[in-house]
Amino acid sequence: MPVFNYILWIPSYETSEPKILHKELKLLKLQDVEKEEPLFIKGYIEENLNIQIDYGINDNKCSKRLFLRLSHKNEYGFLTYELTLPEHPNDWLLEDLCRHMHKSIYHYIKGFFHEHLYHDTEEDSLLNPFMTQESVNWDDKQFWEHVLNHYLNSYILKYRGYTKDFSNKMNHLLSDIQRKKNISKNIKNLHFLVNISRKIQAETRYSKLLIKAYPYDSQSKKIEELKYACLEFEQFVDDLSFWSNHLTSTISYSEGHASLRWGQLGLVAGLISIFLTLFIECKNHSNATNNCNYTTDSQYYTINDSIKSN
Amino acid sequence: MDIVKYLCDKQNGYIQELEKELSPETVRELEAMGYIVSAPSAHMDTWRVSKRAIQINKMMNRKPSIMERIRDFLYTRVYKVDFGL
Repeated sequence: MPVFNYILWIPSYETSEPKILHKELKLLKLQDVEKEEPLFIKGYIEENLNIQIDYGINDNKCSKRLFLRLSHKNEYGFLTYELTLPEHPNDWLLEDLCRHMHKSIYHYIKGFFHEHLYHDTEEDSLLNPFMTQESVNWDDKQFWEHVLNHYLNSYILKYRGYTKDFSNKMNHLLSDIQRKKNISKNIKNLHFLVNISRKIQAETRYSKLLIKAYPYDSQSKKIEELKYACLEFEQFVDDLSFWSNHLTSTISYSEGHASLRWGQLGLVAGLISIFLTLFIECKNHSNATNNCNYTTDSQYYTINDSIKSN
Repeated sequence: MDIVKYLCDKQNGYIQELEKELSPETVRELEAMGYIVSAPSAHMDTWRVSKRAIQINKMMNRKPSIMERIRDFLYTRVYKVDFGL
């Protein structure tokens, strides 16, 4: 019966070797397109890191079983699993496993060791696991480089992709702001992009673990490419933060300036109203005095007239 | 082309078809970025848009709220903020 070797990279930042966090994983339904039959998987892991995956095609009772035996592990988080498959696979999943381990199954296996700190489980990078039918010789540097390059490639694609996509988005937002179109919304979106980019930037530490794992005496083009992709992304995040902060401070300055202007205007209006009040009061007061004198005079004449007539 | 909007409009499909429409390398890039999730199936691998891509698309392509419109009015007409970048 043919034996397949899957070399899975389980990145772990806190410990040099992957540690089991969950001995049993929840039942997972894998189905993207409704007309395709769903695959149900449920996984268990033993203390010695051997993995049992129960599965069912269109059957959530998972009546079939796969057994992945750990054959090798190293301090950089690379676990090599052996899977023995029948000569004539009797379902499409086994046929698929003869070609490669599907990334969603690898992603599921990572769940035994992995806690998603920075993102949702669905936001994780989908990496293709490395598979070989040949016997694995870990002392062979060329083979080791081959495995590392396979994983390095995914990270290069990831950071290049984000730099490209987010740069387009940033340019689009900035050009809209310059044209005074949806300013508040676009500034909010810039902040949103900064937050996501910071989370992605935090994930670069995992790719740096891969760089550490590379044999010290080898020079690799892939390592340089990854370092460059990470650096490019980090520079982009700096640019993005700069524009986001610049726009926020521009608005704050303008608001402050406008507040000052309104304040000054308020002060002038207040002073004018005070002087106006005083002026009106004074005028009223003099009118009132005149009226009073006039009244007194008229009363005097009225009394005198009445005495004379009597 | 806004790739996230494109994926959100399509929602799901077959990986091979997506590779034909974009390119195999772009699809690997989208997988590595976590914009799509994938599942094996009897005929060919399938994909569907991830939560991250939906979240980004929702944020980027939403309509501005009333408060944001009022603020925009203040910035452009009252405060006369200079957005010459």
